[in-house]
Amino acid sequence: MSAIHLVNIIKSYDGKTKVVEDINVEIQEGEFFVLVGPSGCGKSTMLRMIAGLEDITEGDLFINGNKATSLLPHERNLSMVFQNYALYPHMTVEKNITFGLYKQKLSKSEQKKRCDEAAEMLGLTPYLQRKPKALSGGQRQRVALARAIVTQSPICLMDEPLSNLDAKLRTKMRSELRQLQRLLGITMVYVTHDQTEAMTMADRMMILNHGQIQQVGKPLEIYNQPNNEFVATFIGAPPMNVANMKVIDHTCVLSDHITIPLPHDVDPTASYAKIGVRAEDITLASENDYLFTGEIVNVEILGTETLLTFAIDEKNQWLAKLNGQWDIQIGEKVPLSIESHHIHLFDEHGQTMFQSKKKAVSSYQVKDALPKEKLL
Amino acid sequence: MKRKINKKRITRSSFGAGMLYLLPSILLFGIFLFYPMFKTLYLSLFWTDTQGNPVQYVGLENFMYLFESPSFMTSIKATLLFVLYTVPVGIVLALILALLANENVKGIGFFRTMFSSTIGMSVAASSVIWMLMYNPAIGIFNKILSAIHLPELQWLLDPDYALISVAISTIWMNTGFSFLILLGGLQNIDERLYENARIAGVGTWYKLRNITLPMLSPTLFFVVTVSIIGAFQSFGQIDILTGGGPMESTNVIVYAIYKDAFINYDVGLASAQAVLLFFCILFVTILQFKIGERRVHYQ
Repeated sequence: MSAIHLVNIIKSYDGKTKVVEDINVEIQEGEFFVLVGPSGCGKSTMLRMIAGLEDITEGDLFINGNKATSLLPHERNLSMVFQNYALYPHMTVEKNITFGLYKQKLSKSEQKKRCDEAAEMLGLTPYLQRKPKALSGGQRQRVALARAIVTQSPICLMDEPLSNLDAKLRTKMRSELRQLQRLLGITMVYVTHDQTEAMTMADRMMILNHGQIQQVGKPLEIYNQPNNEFVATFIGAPPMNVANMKVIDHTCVLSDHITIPLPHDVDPTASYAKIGVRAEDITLASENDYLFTGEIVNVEILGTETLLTFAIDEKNQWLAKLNGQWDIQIGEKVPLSIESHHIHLFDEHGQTMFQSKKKAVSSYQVKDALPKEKLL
Repeated sequence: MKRKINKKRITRSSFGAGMLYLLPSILLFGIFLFYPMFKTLYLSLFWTDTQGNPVQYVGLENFMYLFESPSFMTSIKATLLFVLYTVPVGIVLALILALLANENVKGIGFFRTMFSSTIGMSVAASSVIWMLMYNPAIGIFNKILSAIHLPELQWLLDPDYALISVAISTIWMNTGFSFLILLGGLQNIDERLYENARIAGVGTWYKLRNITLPMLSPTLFFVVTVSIIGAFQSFGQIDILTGGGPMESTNVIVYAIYKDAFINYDVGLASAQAVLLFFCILFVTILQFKIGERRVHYQ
């Protein structure tokens, strides 16, 4: 049974413009589901509709199979973590964590027990008697998490919970949050504008733009088979390289000197308007796969990889990502190659017309490739 | 060496620039606040002639006289009662109105304007209106009383009711200000705190006690302090409504000062009362800050 089921959900504030349009999605029990999109895409509105903090203009919401469209927030049996944590500054950490627990008809000792457990889990025990003001950003974040955990609600909603933390702590909390969710087995609906967070944390994710679903699926599926140009350029860092092109003689012509042959399984008669190539699919050419020469305008060396920026025409630049460290100078002319089955083709509306299937290497494939004795 | 001199010059010139910036307020405060304050302190130690010129140094005799004067004791009692009548009721009323006006419903702007409108009325003008309403013959209060078959009252002429009547009109006059400040404080409270409470499902009363009031405490503290000081210093409405009567029942200290200085021409005695009032307000304010500090939650 799905934990949360949204059926034809529409949200409109003024009755004319729709902020969220016709959303249909099922979120499974115990799933880490991420809503991701640029700011103003309606992802927070959707979360708040699930929470009951915003009315649903049209459509139905089911929680654990029961209709919840017009239930009050506290009748939905869920917890929520806010972006700014929404801690009560005048209460101690302990009071903050146990806030509202009395509504669940729990005795004082039971409240205390749950609070201690949650605090233990999140390493807050030494701070229980402090006020939020005396905590660091990361600790406050944990208090907000603890407050969601103590309710023992099966569903937890999170509205950009990590966006107020610094980059290092954010990376750490990503992994912690994910482990915590697995440990407790709760269904998590997580809103973020950060595609890295979505990619790294989600079991499944939904990409929203202008209030419309762009794609729902597992992170890698979405990365490898984006539905359209928006998803292709939104997911992935650096974003997918996209350029306008024409198909002439079974070849994509990007500019005077850049042409990429179409893969043989592509229907050459369909209308293609744009080509997309992931940065890691552009490689340094060897003698037999040389395709074009790129004049390098910028080089970023990150230690494990090297990012090359080169111009494809007067206005547009593409990025190539090479593994390892490459000593390439700005202004250098570098021979580049793209394997034709790595390209994505879009029509003039940005809908994906062609892309080849690509899958992650599974662990047994790795095992097969190794001699048996090395695995032991 | 050279550097040191330069540094000194910079310090001196920046001190001059600082003083220049301060000059307007220093001038205003000096002429209208500090000078009169010290002059009052000085005069309170003298017998004065009818022009207010010091005639003879008498030390603390003016103060000794005041502490033995039954009229001054009545003044103190009236002042304290006046503070007691106006401040708590006024703030609770303004708080209730602010809580109502903080709800987001259609047309709330109209009510917000109405509730804060008394801020735009001068004390003199509103006092005249209230005087008409208190009028025993044509006032609306007695009309209402007689309409529901209750005995009519001599609102401003009965020593038992005069102070309460003045207090009621004062509460009305102060509501707009307190309301506006409290509404501002309420709107500053993070909406997420209430949303979290909605998800937890706590009741309205619990929210008021555990979120609204603590979060509003700095604002409330400000309003209480300003209201108390304001109540101690009320003058206009008393001058217009009762003139300190009947039987000195509304003769609060500020009014007594005014009478002693400008009707009885005893400036020395009036100054002594002003000094006592000053220390009284100072004491209450310090006390408030001492107590308040423990109860107020600044974010």
